[in-house]
Amino acid sequence: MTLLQMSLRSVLRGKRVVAVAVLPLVLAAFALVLRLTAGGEDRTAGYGVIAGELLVLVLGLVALVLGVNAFGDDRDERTLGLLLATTLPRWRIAGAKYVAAAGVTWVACLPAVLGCLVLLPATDLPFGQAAGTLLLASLLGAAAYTGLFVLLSLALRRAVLVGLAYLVLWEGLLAGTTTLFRNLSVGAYASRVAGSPFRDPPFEVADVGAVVAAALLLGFTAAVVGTAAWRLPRAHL
Amino acid sequence: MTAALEVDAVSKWFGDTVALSDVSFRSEPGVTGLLGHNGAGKSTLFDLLAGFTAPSQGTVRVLGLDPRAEPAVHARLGLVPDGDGLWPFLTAQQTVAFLARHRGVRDPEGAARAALRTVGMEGAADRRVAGFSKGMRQRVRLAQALAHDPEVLLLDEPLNGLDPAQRRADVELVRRLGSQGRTVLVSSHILGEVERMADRVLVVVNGRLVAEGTPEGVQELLAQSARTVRVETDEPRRLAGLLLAEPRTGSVTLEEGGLVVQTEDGRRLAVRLPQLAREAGVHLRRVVPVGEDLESVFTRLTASARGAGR
Repeated sequence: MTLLQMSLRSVLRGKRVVAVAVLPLVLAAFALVLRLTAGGEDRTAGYGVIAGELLVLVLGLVALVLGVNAFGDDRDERTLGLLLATTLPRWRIAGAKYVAAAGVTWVACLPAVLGCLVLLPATDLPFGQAAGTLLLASLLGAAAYTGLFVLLSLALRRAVLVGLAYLVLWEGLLAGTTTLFRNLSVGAYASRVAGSPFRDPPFEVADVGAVVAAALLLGFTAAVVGTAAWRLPRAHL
Repeated sequence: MTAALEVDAVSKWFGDTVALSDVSFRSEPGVTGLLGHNGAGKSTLFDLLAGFTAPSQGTVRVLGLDPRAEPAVHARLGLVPDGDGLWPFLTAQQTVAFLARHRGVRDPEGAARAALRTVGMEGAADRRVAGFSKGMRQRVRLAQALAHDPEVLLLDEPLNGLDPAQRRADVELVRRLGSQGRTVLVSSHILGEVERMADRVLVVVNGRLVAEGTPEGVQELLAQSARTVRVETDEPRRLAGLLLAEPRTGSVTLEEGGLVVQTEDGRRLAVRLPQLAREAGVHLRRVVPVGEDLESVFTRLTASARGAGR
């Protein structure tokens, strides 16, 4: 069994992953209902709301649950010592755990992404371009959020609580108020990428270019995962 | 020749808490027992040797390498960490093979089967760890430390959670590992256990290495060192006066129905007390050693070690 396989099994075990998969499914169901019942502008507005919620809150919540537990389980079950007592470099351990959690987060959120796609034709944008940027934005968002929560779990005892407060207060509330806060929000940068085909994006976006937003998300992800790898041995103690 | 384990003037503190204070030792091939009560710093020493944490001061070398900088050392080092951690969703075989693979073993599946056979777990190899008893878990943890045939073994309380038959088997196993020329460091808070496994004992008290020697030597040290005895008698005052006149008596405290005497020489007191009582015609109802658990023995040892200028 490779380290990545082992990490994936760890993420996918139990009822937790089923529970978090429900949230994107609910969002997808809303999208489907809108598609069948609403017309014209309502449907466009619906896309804005659902894609906006997906990129800010739903991705964030799924990433929180899976990211915090990437090492949280090893800490609770005291298996971190076994994992660290291998010839694997720390960055590979942190990397594999992170990739497994981020990948499952993204896949779990795919139903919601598909839900947004059924609303897209109402926006009279080139479908391929809009769909492509939304997929990319959700991937970058999943990568950044999961990285942040993996790091939180290694740095704090109450990572779930702190992560939840961050999502609800910072991403959900403050990022909607001023440009300054918006420019310090993972969700706003992901939204910026998803909103790039729009002249006037139907959700709140960060005040930078789409390419810069994508680059910043990647840079942020690299920084938090790198810090997590550095923190890893200490979390065992 | 460099020793497999070299700990040189190592101190480790976490904030204001000193976990280890100026500890130095070199291992020898064979079994070395690390004796200390819970919280004495044994696990911190293991964490340092496994490279999980860096010493605040001093140097740690395992097989000549800095374990913190070079995880490659784990190909030649077997570790049973503190606790009973195992991944519940893996089978015993998967667990041991996974870890063997990431310690550079060519045939991890075969090595895992062999190691599980060594610890008597071949019958449960393909069962999930989640359903295992504490003793079974401990054996799987031992197997993973053996599967890559390491030169050095660090076993942190490996007998915890085992029943007496398993304990006997594992004491035998540890002795055998030592006699194969490996360097084994095994910790315990039970002197009797360490005695049966180890050729050499290190005693750690409150983060300090206070004694070092053969198990017999450490036993001797414990017997000769100071001790506290509670004596129940009709005439505590008279007996107290006689005891205070004896050489090497530390203190005498009067209590309801008797007295508590502290001496620097327990053996001498055991001989002299009945003699004194007989000569003075004092009737002794009961003589009980006070607080003769390891912790108090260690605490006294620490005090004497400090007094000796350590």
